[in-house]
Amino acid sequence: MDKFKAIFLAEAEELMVDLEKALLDFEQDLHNDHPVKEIFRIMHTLKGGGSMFGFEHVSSLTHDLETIYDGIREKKITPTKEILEVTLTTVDHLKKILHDPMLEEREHQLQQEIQRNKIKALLGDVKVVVAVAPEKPKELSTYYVLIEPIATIFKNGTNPLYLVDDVTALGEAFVMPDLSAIPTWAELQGDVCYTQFEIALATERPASEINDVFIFAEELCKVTVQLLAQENLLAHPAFLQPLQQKSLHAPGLGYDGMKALADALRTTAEDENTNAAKVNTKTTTGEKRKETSIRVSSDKLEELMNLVSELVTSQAQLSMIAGSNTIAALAGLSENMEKITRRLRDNAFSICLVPIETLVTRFQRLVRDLSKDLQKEISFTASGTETELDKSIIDTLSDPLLHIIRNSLDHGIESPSERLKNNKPAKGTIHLHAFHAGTHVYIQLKDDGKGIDPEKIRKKAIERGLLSPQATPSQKEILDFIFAAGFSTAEKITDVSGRGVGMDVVRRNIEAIHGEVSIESELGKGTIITLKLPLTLSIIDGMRVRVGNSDYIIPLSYVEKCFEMPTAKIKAEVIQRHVLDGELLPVINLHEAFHEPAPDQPITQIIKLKYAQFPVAITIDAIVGEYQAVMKPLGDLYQGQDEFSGATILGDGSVALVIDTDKLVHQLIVQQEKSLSYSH
Amino acid sequence: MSSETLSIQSYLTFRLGDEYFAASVAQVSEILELSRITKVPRSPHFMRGVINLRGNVLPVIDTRIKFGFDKIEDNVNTCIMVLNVEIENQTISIGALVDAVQEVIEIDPSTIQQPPSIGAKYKTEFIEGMIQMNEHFIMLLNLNLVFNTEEMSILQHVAEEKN
Amino acid sequence: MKLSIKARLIAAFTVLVALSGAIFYLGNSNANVLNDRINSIVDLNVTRLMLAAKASEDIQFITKREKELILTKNIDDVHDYIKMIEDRAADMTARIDQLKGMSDEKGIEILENFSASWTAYQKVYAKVKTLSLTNTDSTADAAFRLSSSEGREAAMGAVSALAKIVKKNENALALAKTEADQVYADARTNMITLLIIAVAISIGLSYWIITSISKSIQQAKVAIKSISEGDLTITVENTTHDEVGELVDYLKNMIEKLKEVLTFVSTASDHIATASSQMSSTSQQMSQGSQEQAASAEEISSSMEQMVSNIQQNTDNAQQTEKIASKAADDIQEGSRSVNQTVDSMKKIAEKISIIGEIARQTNLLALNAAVEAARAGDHGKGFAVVAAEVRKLAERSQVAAAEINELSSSSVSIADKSGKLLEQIVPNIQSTSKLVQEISASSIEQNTGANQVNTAIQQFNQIIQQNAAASEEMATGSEELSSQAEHLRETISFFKIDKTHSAAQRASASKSRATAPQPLKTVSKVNSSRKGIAIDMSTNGHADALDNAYEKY
Repeated sequence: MDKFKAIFLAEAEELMVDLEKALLDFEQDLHNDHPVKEIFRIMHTLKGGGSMFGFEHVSSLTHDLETIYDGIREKKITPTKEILEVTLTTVDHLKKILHDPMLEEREHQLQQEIQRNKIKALLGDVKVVVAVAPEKPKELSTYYVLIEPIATIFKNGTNPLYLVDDVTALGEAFVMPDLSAIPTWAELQGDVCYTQFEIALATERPASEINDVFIFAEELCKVTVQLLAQENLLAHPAFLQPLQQKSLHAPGLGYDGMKALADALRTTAEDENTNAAKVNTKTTTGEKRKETSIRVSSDKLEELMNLVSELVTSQAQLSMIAGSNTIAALAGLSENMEKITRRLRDNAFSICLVPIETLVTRFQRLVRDLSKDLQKEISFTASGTETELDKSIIDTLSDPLLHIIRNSLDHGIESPSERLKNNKPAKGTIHLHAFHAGTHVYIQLKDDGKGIDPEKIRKKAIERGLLSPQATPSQKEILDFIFAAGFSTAEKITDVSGRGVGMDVVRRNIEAIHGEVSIESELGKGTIITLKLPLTLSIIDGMRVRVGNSDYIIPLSYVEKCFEMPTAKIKAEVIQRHVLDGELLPVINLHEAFHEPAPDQPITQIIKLKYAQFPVAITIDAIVGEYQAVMKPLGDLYQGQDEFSGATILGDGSVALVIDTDKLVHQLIVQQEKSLSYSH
Repeated sequence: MSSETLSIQSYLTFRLGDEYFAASVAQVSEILELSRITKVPRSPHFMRGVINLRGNVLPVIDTRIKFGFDKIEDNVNTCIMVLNVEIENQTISIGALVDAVQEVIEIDPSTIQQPPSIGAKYKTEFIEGMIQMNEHFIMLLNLNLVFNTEEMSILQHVAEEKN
Repeated sequence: MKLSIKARLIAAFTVLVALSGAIFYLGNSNANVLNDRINSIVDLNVTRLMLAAKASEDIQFITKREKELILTKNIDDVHDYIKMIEDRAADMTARIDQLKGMSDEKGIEILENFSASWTAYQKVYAKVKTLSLTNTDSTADAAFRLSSSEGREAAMGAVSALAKIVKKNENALALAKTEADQVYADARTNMITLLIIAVAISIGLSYWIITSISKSIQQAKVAIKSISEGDLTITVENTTHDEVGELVDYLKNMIEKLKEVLTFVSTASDHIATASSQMSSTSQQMSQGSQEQAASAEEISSSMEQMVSNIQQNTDNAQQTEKIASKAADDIQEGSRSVNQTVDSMKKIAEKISIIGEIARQTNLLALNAAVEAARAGDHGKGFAVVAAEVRKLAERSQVAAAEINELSSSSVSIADKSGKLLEQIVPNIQSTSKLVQEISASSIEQNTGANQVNTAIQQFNQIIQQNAAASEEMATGSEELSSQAEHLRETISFFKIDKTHSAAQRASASKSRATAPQPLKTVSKVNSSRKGIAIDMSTNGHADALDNAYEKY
């Protein structure tokens, strides 16, 4: 039972997130049906699960809330800000009592009572509303439904007539089959569907319900549902007559044709019609996004990832064996295995990819609550939230992003009065924009606040002894001080931010996942903080090279070009300069740097690398080939050696180190400079 | 995972040259045969490199060097003890390369003697105690400290010289 | 008389032939005269007779038809008769013309008479014909009168002319007969005279020829008769010079020659007898020598065979040795192989043992891991810890045992290796021995072959000697035969009687002494000079004995 309870808890926590999101959506547009349904669904699930697993207090609260939202859904209750406020506080309370189902803590008991009363009060109000509600007339609308079954629909065993029946069951309908596409006898194929159906349907149900009929036949036919009029057109003989006269073999009237008929009847209702149509299409898209899914614990996912990694490794081993043997069947099998493994790996990785959306919901609530606390009017918007990232990265991102948003709320966005003074709308905005670029995902957080005053930072930096008063750093360099440890410019410390443990932690966290963070700001206009993140942590496309007896992986993203050079020309120095490709480049003698003997072949391979400031080349023995490296951490013992970002298991089971060439080059250069300065 | 909580007096004895040591079994996760060790360039001398432990990377420390023995060629008896040690409040796995693993012994705590503070080869903080078994002394090691230190050697005199 | 028989015969026959010719000519010319007479009779007189007879017949026919013409009343018949009469008249005219061609003057004169009569008749006939054509009774009477008057007269004239011709020719025929009789009588008289003359001449000539030939032949006959009786002592005298005379001359020569030949043959046969007896003795000696030679060859051959068998034995022994040696080499190689296999197996055992050692080591490690695990499990793991310790001990023990086995097997391997090497070293020695023995064997075989060849050669040689001996014996026999043949020859020619001087000279030079020979003492002693004084009979006998003895001696 405990096990099921744990499952319920995990599910409930996620439902809470969804619920919050739906509530916030609802708050944006009180007339939107969709969030209401979502809220109702979640309440219902929580109620059911709660009573089943012994969370009675949870279920009693959700039961009452469910009643309210059912009313809203049925348009019996008018949604209000108050209802929303109560719901949100209840949700907060529910989150707490999920971990204290028996209300052992006094505080929880009290809160439970408060919430109950609030909801009861709401329900009391509702009753009044309900009393008024029955007077609402039953509204009929007429829709134009076009069903275009795909030619091969019969092969799937689907009878399109059943679909038509289902549609007509929704209300009063006039069905016009369109047989114009049926070819002559000679060309007729028995198993191809040539018929389309046009239906004029008068119903009180929304367009989404008509769409729902086709939920299981989405791929089997194209369905167009369009509103003709918000009344029963079929009651008008002037509308019906032309339809009845239409020949079965004449081409369909189409929406436009019927619309013309409808318009002829009622020319006045145009505006309303289009509005309604908009709403309907919106709903349709909203519903379509639903996908069936199952819940899997992240531990299992992690294990799956590990197993996939091992499979990839074993597969590499198999490929190696297949390559060294001349068994054609084995080679074929191995190639096939490789394909499957690659797909499995990509699939497994994609399983671990999570849309950023999950983060965003949390921030919406945060912004809403905090702005209330700070008495600021701030809206939080997000775009590109469908961008996916590795779950582990998402988990790591949560805290840094929170920090950044808090900073924006606290220090960035001004108070409404201040904003109005500066000719800005009273309502400030924070916008999160996520997007893909190459093998990286970028997350930008943009506010239209007051920006960062570089002068302030300069002062602070000088105050902290991080900058000499004489120095004239560039604006970028000054802004970079924000990421220095214990650096805060906030004049007063609030409980939201300003404790000075912020941006430095942000940078450290981001860098830990091989990401980068940068900041741009314009005084008075706003600030943009950009995070550059790798898609995934666990796999890189690399080039496998040999230096001495060991193989190393260099990420392909660093590699620019490969050269050759006579070994004799290479000096026994770690850093030297050579002209490569008509360009004088610093060349790092990797053999020297790794204390390996120089290669005993006449030609040494050289790889030109991208490096932060300028291109750099390194010497290696040989390029073994491209390699997809499953990254494994080197472990804490090698923490100091960040020139190796990890290791990977090669086909033969041995370990190859993954070189972070940026860091390696940097270290070697620093080392060189140090040794030079010592020698002076 | 720490030895205090488990309070087990079972130790795994191992040999380095002709000296015998013991590690609390609570911290020993397994004993491996020697496999191919990948050298990590630019790492301290006693860091032998890394090996593939069932798909994970395990750092291997050459205990001989750490304990001030001369480097010798590996042989069939050379083993890697996989140890769980606590470093900066994090339990991490490391491999310790030893000449030979002997056996698991149970030690009555009362028989544990304090290591001699003077004239001992190793710094006292690394040795939890020692016992006599047959004709040799076995030194019970404080693994957390032994492998935590960034210092290259745990030898007494070397440390003194440094200080 | 110098004329040869041939000439005489030719002369005689020529005379006889000339006489015969004369007789024939006479007869022939008489016959010719006769023939000419007969021819003229037949050719002229007879033909004239026949033509005249025919013509008279024609006239009779014509007159007869004229009568019928006159008589007939049928006009068609008239025409037919007219035609018949005219056709016959044409035929008769042709016959008269032919007769005219072969008539003499007198005949032509008669014919003129005939023609005049005929012409007269023709005129009558023409009138008759015209009258007949009119064909009336009156005309018929007229015609009849005409024809029986004028016509009859004319026709009679013609026929009488023709009868004159016949008469004339019959007279000519009677004249010719008398002439022929006269010719025949003359010819017979001439021929008889001639015949008598011829017979007389022939008889004379025959006598002359016969008497001349028979005298010479008589002489030759006498001489040949004497030769046939073996008497060559006769003398032949020739008297004539004709062919028979020549024959007698040649006969005389022949007798002389025969005498010479016989004398020579007699001498030669004596010589042959001597030579053949000499040859006989020599060949007997030769035969003896051959026998001796054959005996020695036999001896060599048997020694040779002895040698061959010795060599064969050597060869056999060498081969046996070689077999043994190679068997030994094989055995040793097999042994070496076995040792090598043993070494391999031991090495494999050592490998396996090292695997066991490896397994024991791993087990040890596993047991250690188990012990660690058990120790960490605290009290719960106690039992398991004991088991792990036991397992570890066992693993250790098997490790030790494996090490020991390994050591043992490696020492065994080295021992086996060593023995294998030793064996391998022996192998080449034995192989070289085997090779040497092989060589010996091979040379023995060669020797054997050589000796066999020598033996064969000797055998062949022996055979030839034997053949020689046989041949010389045959030769001795042959010479005996020859001498007897020579004797026989002498006996044969003794049939002929020759002059004494002649034969004595011949004999002294060639003949062997014979008991029958009266005085050949000197010659015999010349031949058998070593035995002077011994009687001729004795000498021949003695010689024969000596030959016999010598023959028997072989």
